[in-house]
Amino acid sequence: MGLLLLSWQIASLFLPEYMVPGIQLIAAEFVKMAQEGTLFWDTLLTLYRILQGVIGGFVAGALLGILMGTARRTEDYVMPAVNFIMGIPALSWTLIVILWFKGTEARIFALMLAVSFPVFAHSILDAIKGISTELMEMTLAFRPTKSQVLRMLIVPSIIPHVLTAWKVTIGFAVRVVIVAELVGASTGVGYRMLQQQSLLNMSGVLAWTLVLVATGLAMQSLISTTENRLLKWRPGKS
Amino acid sequence: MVKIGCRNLGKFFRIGRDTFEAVRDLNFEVNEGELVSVVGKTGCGKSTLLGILLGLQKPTNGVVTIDRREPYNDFDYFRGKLSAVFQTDRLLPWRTTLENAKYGLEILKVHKKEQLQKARYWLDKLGLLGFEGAYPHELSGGMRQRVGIARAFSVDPEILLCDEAFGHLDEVTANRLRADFLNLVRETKKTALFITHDIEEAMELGDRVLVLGKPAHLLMDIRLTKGLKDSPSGLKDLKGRIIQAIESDEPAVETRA
Repeated sequence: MGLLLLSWQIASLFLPEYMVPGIQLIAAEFVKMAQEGTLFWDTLLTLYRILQGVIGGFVAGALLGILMGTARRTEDYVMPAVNFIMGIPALSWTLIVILWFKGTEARIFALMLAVSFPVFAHSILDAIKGISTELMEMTLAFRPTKSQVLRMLIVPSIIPHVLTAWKVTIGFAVRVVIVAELVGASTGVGYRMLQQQSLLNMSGVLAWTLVLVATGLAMQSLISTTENRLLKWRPGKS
Repeated sequence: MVKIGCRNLGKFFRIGRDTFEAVRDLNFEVNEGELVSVVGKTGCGKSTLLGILLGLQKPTNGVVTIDRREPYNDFDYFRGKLSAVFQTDRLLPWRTTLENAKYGLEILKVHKKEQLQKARYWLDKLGLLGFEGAYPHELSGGMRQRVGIARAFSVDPEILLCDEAFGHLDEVTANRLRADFLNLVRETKKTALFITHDIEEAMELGDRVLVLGKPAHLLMDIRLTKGLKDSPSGLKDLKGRIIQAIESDEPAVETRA
C-alpha cells in the first residue's frame, strides 16, 4: 500500500495533473468537498439509496425464496420469471427504469430492487433446500406450528447463506448505483464524479472514487461483524 | 392397555420407476409401560417403521395407531406425546447444550422458567451440568447423544422411540449410555420402542423383543422374563435362535421363555 502511494506520488511529478494528480491535490479535494458539505450529504444519500434498494430486494427475494422453498410446485412457476429478470443486464434496467418511473429516487429504488432480489431469491431457495431433513424430522416429532418451524429451524439454518448473499449483493449494488447516478441523478456520489470528470478535474474523480471504495469496505466489514456475532456457534469461530 | 397397535402395515416407496417394499404385513401391539426392542437386519425397514410411528410417513397399507389414533392423519394430536432419540444426535448446531435440551419445551410453549428448569434437570440426570453453554461441535459424540436424550425426556413424552441410538458410539461409551438410558426409561415408566440391529442390545433394553425379517414383517415375538435376562446361557441360546430366524427369514413359533 505504501509502495503504491509512493510510486503514485513519483509518477505525479512526471505526468500531467489531469492524469495522475499528486496526493496533496486529492487531499485538498477532500477538504473542499467537506467544506461544501457534499462529502457528507452525497455520500449519505448514495448509501441510503444502496441500502434502501438492497433491503427492498432482500425482503422481496426472501419472500419469494421462502414461498418457493416451502410451498410445493411454486418453484416451477416463479423461478423462470426470476431467472428471466436476473438475465436482464443492470445497464438495460437503468434505461428501463428511466422510461418507466418518474423521479430519481423511484427510479433508483426500482433499479436496485430489480438487480438485487433475484440473488436473494436464489440463495434463500437453495438454503431452504439444503436444510437437513434429519433436523426437520426431529423438529416435526414435537409437532411445531408452521411459524415455529420457520423461526426455530428454517431461519437459523439459512442465516449463513443470507449473509453471503448480502456480501455479494452489496458489492454489486455499489457499482450499479453509481451508474444510475451518473445517468439519471443530480445528487449522489455518481453525479459528483461525473461533475468532476466534466471539469477535467482528476483529483475530484479520484477523491469520490476513494469515497466509494471506503463506503463499500465499510459495509462489507459491517456484514462481517454481524456474521461473526451471529455465527459464533460455527466450529473454528469464537 | 394397548398403547401402540400395528395392523397389516405395509409400506412401499417409489424410487424412480421401481417400487421398494420396506414393510410387509407387519402386526404387533405394545402395551402401556412396555419396553420393546425391535431387531432386524440393516435396511429391513426398521427406520421406516419409526417414520410411520412418528407420523412423518404415511402407511401404504394397514394402520398404525397410538392411543387408537393414527400419527400421520391425527398429526397434531401427538403434540408433546412422542419423543425420539435418533442414530445421530440431530442437535441444532447453533444452539448450546441448554438451548438444545429445551428445544421441545419451546415448541410446546412451556413457560420460560419451566423450560430452563426442566432442561437443567435432565441435563443433570445425564451428567451434563457444566456444559450448558457448549455448542455441539465442542462436545464428544457420547455427550452429544446425551443432549439428544435430555431433549427427548424433557418434554415428558408418553412414548419414547429410539432408532439405533447407540450405534454411532464406541463400545465403552455405548454401554454406559445404554445403561443410564435404560435406568431413566424405567424410572419414568415410559412406553418405549428401541429399534436396533444389535441383538444383544435388543435383549438388554427390551422386556420384549420383536424380530423382523426383510421387508419388515414379524418373525418372532419374545417376552424376556427376569429369569431369562439373568441367565447368560439362556440369552446366548436365544441370540442363536434370533440369528437363525433372521437368516432363514421364516416366521418361527412364538416363544415364551
